[in-house]
Amino acid sequence: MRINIDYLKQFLNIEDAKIISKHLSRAQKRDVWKELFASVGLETTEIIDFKGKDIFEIEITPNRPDWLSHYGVARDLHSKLPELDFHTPNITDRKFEKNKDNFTINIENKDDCGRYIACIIRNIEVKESTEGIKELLESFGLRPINNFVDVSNLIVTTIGHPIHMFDLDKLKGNEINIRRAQKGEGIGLLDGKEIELNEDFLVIADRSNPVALAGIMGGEYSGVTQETRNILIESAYFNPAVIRKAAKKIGIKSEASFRFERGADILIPPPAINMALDMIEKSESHSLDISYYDDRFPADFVPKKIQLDKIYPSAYSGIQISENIAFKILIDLGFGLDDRGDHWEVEVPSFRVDIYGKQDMVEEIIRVYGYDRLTSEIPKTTSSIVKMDVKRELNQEIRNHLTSIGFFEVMNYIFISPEEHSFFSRDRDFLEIRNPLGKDFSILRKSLFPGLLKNILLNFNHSIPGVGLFEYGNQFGIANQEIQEKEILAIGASGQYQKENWKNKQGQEFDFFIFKSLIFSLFSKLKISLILKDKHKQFFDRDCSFSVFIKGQEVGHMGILKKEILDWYKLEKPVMLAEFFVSGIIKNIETKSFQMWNKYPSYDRDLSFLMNKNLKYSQLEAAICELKPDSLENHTLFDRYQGKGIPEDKISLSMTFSYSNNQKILINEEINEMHTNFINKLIKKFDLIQR
Amino acid sequence: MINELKKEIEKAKTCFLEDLNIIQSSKELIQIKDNYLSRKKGIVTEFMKQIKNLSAEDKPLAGKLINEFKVEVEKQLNLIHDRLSYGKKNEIDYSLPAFDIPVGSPHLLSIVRTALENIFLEMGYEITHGPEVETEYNNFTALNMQEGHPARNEQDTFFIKGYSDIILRTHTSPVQIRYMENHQPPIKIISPGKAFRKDEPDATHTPVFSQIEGLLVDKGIHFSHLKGTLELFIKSFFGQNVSLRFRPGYFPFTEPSAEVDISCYLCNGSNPECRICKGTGWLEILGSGMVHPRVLENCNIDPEKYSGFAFGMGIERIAMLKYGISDIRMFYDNDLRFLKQFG
Ligand SMILES: [Zn+2]
Repeated sequence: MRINIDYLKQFLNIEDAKIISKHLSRAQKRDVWKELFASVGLETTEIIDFKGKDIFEIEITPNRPDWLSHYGVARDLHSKLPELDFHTPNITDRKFEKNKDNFTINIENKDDCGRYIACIIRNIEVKESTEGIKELLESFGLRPINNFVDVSNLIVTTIGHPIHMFDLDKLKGNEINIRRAQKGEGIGLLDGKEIELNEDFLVIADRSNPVALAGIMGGEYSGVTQETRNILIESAYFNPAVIRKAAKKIGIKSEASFRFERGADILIPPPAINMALDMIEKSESHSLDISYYDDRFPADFVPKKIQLDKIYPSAYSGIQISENIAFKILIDLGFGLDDRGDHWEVEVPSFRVDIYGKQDMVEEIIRVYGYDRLTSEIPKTTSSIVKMDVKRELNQEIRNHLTSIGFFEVMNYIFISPEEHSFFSRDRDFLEIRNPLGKDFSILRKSLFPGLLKNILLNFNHSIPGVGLFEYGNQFGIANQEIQEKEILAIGASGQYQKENWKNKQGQEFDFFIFKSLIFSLFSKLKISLILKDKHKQFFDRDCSFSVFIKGQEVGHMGILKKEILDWYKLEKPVMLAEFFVSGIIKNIETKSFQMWNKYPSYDRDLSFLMNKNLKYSQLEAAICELKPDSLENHTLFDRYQGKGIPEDKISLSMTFSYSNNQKILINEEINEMHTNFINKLIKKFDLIQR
Repeated sequence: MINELKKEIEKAKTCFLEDLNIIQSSKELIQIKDNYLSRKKGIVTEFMKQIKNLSAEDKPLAGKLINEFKVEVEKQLNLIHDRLSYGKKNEIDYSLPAFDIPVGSPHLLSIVRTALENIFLEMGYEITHGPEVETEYNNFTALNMQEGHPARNEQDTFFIKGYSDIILRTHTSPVQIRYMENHQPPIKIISPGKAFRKDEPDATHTPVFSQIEGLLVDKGIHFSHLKGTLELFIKSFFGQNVSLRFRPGYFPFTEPSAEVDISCYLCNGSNPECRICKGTGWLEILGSGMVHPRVLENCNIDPEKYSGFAFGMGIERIAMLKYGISDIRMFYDNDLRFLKQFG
């Protein structure tokens, strides 16, 4: 909305305001106006110089259609500048002879159209407006057309109400019908668009056809042209919801729809049409031949009343505002106040469609009184218990650990492309965006890996030799027909882990064992033991694909990214990946109670053996856990060898087994017996060859 | 044969431990080292020479035992060497550089979010969460944006295919609705999280962004309580000298509403070319207001009995202001050159 400061002065001469000193420069004045506008809630987005005049481009919040005119803005500014006189527009009070033309207005439904005024002027001459009017319109950013269209535009910017003009001779029959369109009807609009209509559209129709889309735009056929000699002016009130729906449907945003869909003033149609008549009379320079005027007002309009306790504005704002000040402010803003002792009955003016209750009254009062006069107080509200956010603590701990072992936290969009999605999930139970920013952003991720992979690639492309990343975020899916959202911790690494240095000239690349060790370090920090089980996942390398279990419950997976997917992402070095359900981790965070440590010594027994190559260490380990004697405290693999001196189909492993009992000292014979029994079972189970 | 060797090694071990006790100087250390490790006549070398007399199957074990002994001797002598040379001059150049130990960083948005959360936790607020995929009711309708409300601009909202009323939340306010539906006042919560709007990415927009919103509902809460709370928060985060400015604003879910600016923490309005405030002296930082009575009613809280305030801010915006970042997309590029700067 453009405000021409000069034009505003006819309602409120802000140049005379106390806040303006005569010595201010133009730039300084602009700053004062800007502050003034902001103080009532009008944000200036741009100040334009139009032929030496200041034009303010102002953002109007959608709740205040009454601000969409110079008059409306002046009214609010006046409340801030009570020392100035506020001038209402000078409009001739006309008396109309009713219905010389035998014309009729038919409103099909008063809920669609609460009020409709039509006025017919005959023998007019369509011509260019005066230079003064043309320049004024240009200052508002509008293109002058002819003296009639220009009047419509001027009325809108001056007092905010859209009126419309028809070429009377193009209308069939002596009637105007405000009705819903029928399926099959259509209209060609002023902007050249052809619209197919149906019952959702409210139209202005002559005897046979729609001639305008009510509150949105007129039809091209019935529009005012150079040839027009007789016109019909419309000034009406339409239901905001109906206009909004129709305008949205055809994607048109006109000056008229913009106002009607926010809510017009139901009492303004008469002054608006009278103001138009005054302007037309001036441009025609002779008195008008008005042959018809009728104001149909079927809506049941009752002004809204609000009961406002006199102490409420102070109580709700937290500052002392005297009754007199509150009263004066509301009166200046156009509210009616009836004193009822301890409260006022406030009558809301018809142009304030945004007012709901007494809280709005407080906003009106302190807006004018000044937001800068609010004080600062701390509420005394306390909770009965301090709730610890367990998940936050856990996430913080994980974040701390991962960053201190070299991982960077990343954040990605939650939407990915269908192709990326297909790599990580073959199920149909995913969510899709109906109106995405593009196909590449249309699927809600079921895995966080696509984001990590893109991040790894981006950083490799910047010649960073190695990347370890992690992300917290939700995955989305459908389970049992319900939308599911689960928080995931995803970790990925590729390339260099440790840089070479003067002592270690090799450096160290991320491999699966480093990755696995880093992840195990995280869980040992959390005092949670993990178990990995081979499980084929479509996105991991067949030989390196694991499910991760905590206490028998699957909480995630880890592995090396499959070659095909690596290639698709144009990555070269192997990428190690892991994902965990945060809820699966949280469930296993326990408050540990103190355990006395084992005071008795532990004794090591080493064992070197050959094992069949096709056996996996995980199988051996599982058997150890299953067969071990109670006093076996610990076991570690300290050597692994294959090659020279070892048969082709074998590998040589060396392990240390540590025995201890927290009840007593174990004696040598006891340990030997235990150990022998145990390793014999292992040997038997896997055909091991002891060395 | 092998058993004899075993015994000899055991014996040598015992001797060695006794020898260790008598070492008092580097001279003695060199002497002992020579005795055991000298390549020509050291004890270890003597053991090695015996291997060739052993049977083929005993050889590996013998080798292993001797090596273990050698390793042990070296280890112990090194320890003594270190002890003796401690504090004395030697040839190592200790000015050689440290090694790079890999260290990462949390995301800047996590850092800022945590800092903001900590301030509110200190003030006794509880952190609450809600889903990112939301109902239109919780995201709009319950917040006093009925269908067709101009603020409910469908151009800005991502819809989920196959559902008529499911969207990606456009702010974190639905978390407050969910909380109020299940709790009666006093309510004192913050809800941090991601929000989504259909914006093409540019320097000031990303389709995914983060918010933190606060809500306090109790008896007798008024507008000055909001100002006091925000002032305390802003000063805690940006510094004592930063001041606050309330401007009238409009949000469908608050009445009265206020836009909040802070004075430029960098120039305080004194620098017309300030890169943070562009010379205006003020920075738009958050939106706030008193909770609209209709919103309370929608959550079965009696607006005649209770009142409350709410506020919300973009975490990226706060981070950009605090760290002087000019392009919001950097938060989602995940470029290590960006990420590693903060921690
Ligand atoms: Zn500044």
